[in-house]
Amino acid sequence: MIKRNVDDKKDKNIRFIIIKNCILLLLLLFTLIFGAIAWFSNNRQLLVTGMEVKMQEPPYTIQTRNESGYYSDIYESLDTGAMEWKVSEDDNFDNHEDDLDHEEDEPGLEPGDSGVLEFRVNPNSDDTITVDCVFGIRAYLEVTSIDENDNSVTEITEIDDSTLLQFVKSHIILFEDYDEQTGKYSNLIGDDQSFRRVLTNQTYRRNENVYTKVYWVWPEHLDELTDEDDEEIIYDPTERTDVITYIANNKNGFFKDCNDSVTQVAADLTALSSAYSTSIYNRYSMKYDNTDLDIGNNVSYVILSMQVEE
Amino acid sequence: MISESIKEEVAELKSLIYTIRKMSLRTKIILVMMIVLISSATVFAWLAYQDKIEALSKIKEPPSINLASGGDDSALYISLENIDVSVAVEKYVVFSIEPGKYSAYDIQLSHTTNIPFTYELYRVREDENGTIEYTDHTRDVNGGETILKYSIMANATGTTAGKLILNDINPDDGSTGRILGDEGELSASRKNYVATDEVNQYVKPIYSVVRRVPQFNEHTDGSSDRDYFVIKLTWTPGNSNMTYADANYWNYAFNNKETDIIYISAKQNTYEEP
Repeated sequence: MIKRNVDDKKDKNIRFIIIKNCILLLLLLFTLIFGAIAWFSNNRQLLVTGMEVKMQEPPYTIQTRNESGYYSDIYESLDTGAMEWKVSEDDNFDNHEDDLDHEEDEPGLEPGDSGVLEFRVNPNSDDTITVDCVFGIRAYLEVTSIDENDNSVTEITEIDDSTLLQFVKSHIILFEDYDEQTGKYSNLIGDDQSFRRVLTNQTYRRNENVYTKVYWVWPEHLDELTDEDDEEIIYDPTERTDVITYIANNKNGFFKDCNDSVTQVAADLTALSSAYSTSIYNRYSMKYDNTDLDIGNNVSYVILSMQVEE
Repeated sequence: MISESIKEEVAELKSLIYTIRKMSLRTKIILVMMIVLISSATVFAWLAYQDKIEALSKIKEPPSINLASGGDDSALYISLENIDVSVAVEKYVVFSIEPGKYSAYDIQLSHTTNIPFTYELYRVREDENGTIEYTDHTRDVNGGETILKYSIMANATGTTAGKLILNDINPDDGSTGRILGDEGELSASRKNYVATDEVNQYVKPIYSVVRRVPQFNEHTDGSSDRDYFVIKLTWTPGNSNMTYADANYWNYAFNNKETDIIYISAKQNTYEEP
């Protein structure tokens, strides 16, 4: 009798331990399944048969054009974890198959190029959403080498040289607006306090067919930014001070090996924009051109990103 | 009674619990963190997928600017050899620049100052009636030599009667106590081949530059059309009666010196209306 009681107690304890552990295992399994389902569900709909899983809907969907860029295969291979910015013949980053200058073989960026990219942020459930849009630049270098079997191997690596990245970020200037009548850009997208280019407080209405346009321009010559003649500069002359301040603050990105102080650069460029001076212009123009040369020689691909922050 | 299968399960569970118990606190924390990470990683991937778009484009290779010799020859054929200073007073050296997409460029000459040559730069073009000759090695498809003639473009933009004004970067003039070719100021042991086999090891090359030379063909599509130039070397021949003691002896050219080096370099710039 006594032995049987002891056995019963043991049995109960063991069953309790088994049940407790099974519940824990089940909980872990559920967490894993739910995580995976969230990923598969992508953005809007979630249909799971057999049980009902209610997911918190993502608050918005980024919408772009429909066509993949010319270099989408390369983009996919980089596996950045973000979504490709789809383009069209008119709205692209010089990465559309029809965007060929001078009957060249493939599209691409070089000094003197400009264009527009667009996107919208569509709120999924609310009527409106207000977000910040943060623009970033990354650069990659493609190196082709010959391996031991005499096969050519192409490797694309991300560039972490901060000076070179500064060059690319500075020379590809972003504006919010462009006036087709005057041919002038306006509303420079400058840096915020963290040196990020941000469009703050952008409000979007649900399903409203309004896209945000980002005008990008890589000026070929410095005088397109500093010329004293209003006709010659690419942007609205009323924004001279903003642009010159932006250039001076990013002097190490605009001008290779610029040892002058920010104040000095600002003063020099301000002087240039009121009266041309060969000596001042040559000094900065040479550094501006050398920067372009460095970009061309050391960068193979560039990524312009737009990140939404609520 | 406990069934056999439960017994086995219990035994397995016991060993698992024992293993976990035996683990140090650090290992336990790592284990929990890993489980949390695995279950959250997929969720993060989904969030990242949502809030960022990226456009990738290629950066084109920068246009190049090339130096070449006259005619269709490569830079290999630029040559200043075989100058006999006693039989002539000038020599023309033809070279060319392929500016590609650049609307203008800078040309810089730098040269040593062993022989007292004066260097001038002129813009030229191929011209049947020209007086400057160049022996081309490339144009003849059979590999023969072709004598080409060039004449100075007296009306070329940015020139003075075809001459491009070279600005000295480190001028040699009386005010700096240094005159081209003048070795009078130097101690005997530094004068070229005067005392013994000594040479002036401290002599500085002279740099001069002309900026914003406009591309003649005004192509900015990267064509390989060439702009032609000549370097005109002139000198004043000395006569055999002169000695080191004569005034300005160093400014006369004699065939007793054999080497000078000249560098020609070109760099992209942008054209501006004068």
